[in-house]
Amino acid sequence: MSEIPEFNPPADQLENSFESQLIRTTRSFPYPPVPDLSQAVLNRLASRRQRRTRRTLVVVGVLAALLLAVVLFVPPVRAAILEWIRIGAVRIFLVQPTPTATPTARPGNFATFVPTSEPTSTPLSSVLDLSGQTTLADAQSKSGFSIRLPAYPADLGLPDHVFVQDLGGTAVVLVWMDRAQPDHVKLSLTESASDTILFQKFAPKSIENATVNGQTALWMDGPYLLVSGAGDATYTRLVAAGHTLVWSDGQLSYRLEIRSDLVSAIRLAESLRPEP
Amino acid sequence: MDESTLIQLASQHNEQACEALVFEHQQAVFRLAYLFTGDPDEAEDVTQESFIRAFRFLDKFDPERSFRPWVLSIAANLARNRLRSFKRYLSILKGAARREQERASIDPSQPTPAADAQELWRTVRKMSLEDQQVIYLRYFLELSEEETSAALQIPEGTVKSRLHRALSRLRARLEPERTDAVKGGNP
Repeated sequence: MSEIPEFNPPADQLENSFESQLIRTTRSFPYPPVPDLSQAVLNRLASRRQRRTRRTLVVVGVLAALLLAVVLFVPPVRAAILEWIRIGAVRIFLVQPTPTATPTARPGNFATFVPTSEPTSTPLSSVLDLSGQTTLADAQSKSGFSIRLPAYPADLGLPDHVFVQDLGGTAVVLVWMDRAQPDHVKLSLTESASDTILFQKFAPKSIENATVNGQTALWMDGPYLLVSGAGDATYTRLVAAGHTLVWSDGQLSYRLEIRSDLVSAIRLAESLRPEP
Repeated sequence: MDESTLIQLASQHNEQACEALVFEHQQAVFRLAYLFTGDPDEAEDVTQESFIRAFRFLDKFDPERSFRPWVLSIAANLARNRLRSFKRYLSILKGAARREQERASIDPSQPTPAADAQELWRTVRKMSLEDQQVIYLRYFLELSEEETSAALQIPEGTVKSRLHRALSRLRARLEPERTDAVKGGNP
């Protein structure tokens, strides 16, 4: 290796000499010719977008069809699924294996709900697919209520994405991305002052009682189907992983989707402050 | 058109902006991928995937920052992951014959700058992936310390100390080889 450095320069020049010889040597490295990859990258980008859209439509479509089949055509389950819990603008339907198994000691009001028409939904694969993205300031002016932001964790900062949704009532969805994994949602917080039901959850894996600032709250595990909206225009999304905390505070309803434990979720919920 | 404008357009799925960014940076990304994988086909695949990932997450990227260190950091992570994967073994089998041909075309008894550089590279490849990464970025691709810092997502001071340690280890590896070569009469 004739170009690899001699190792006997003065000590204070040793590294610089070594570094400069390294660079001289590496400049002769016989790299293979670089192909022009721009068209290949563009083609792969286009095909990936098409695949993703198709996959999302298929998965959510199948799930929605299954759900509808369960609700409408399986009598025992149908009888049971029509039991629900409501917190603010959120209604949670409970699936029980038999019509006689009545849930006990659950907070909220139970009632009977009879669907009057088949829902027509727009399937979403992620909360980031929501329409109505805007700025926090714009959301504040459109929402008609004071948007609150978490003061915990201290380094959370402002949301990375803000959506204003007209779902028959106004809902504001705030999304924070995971800094370590920029393609992952860290948490999303939905705030609404609507007195009508804007969100319906179907058959969460588990439901646990909790309290936020002394008010009743529910802590749920995925996967479950979330239907946002009222009337004919709705969004359907499969909440595949993570947990959800739902609570209300006066006229305001909150729904927190987070990949964390209950203690952290409650701490975050109790740290909400009006936007400065 | 400046790079920050290209990045903003690319984040809105503007194909011409994406194409311009790929064209501008594909050489550095391909070369880094090749240094890690040692296989042109794999390097090409890693390069494509690096740009695809970069474009997918472009809306999280600050357009005032330089694009090159960012896409290089993605490429380094992808290439390092491939080195640990089963796919790597299949690729090695496919590329073995071609690499042997390439080696044969450079006669080790006739030292040339290219042969020296390849021998240096083979020595670096025996080092840890962390050492390889900092050496490739700083000395093979000749990134500045600031760009190396951005690509590794560590402070410049840490780049300096990491480089210092990597160079010490590289020197230690090169010394015995040099001694052996001298004893064998082939300096």
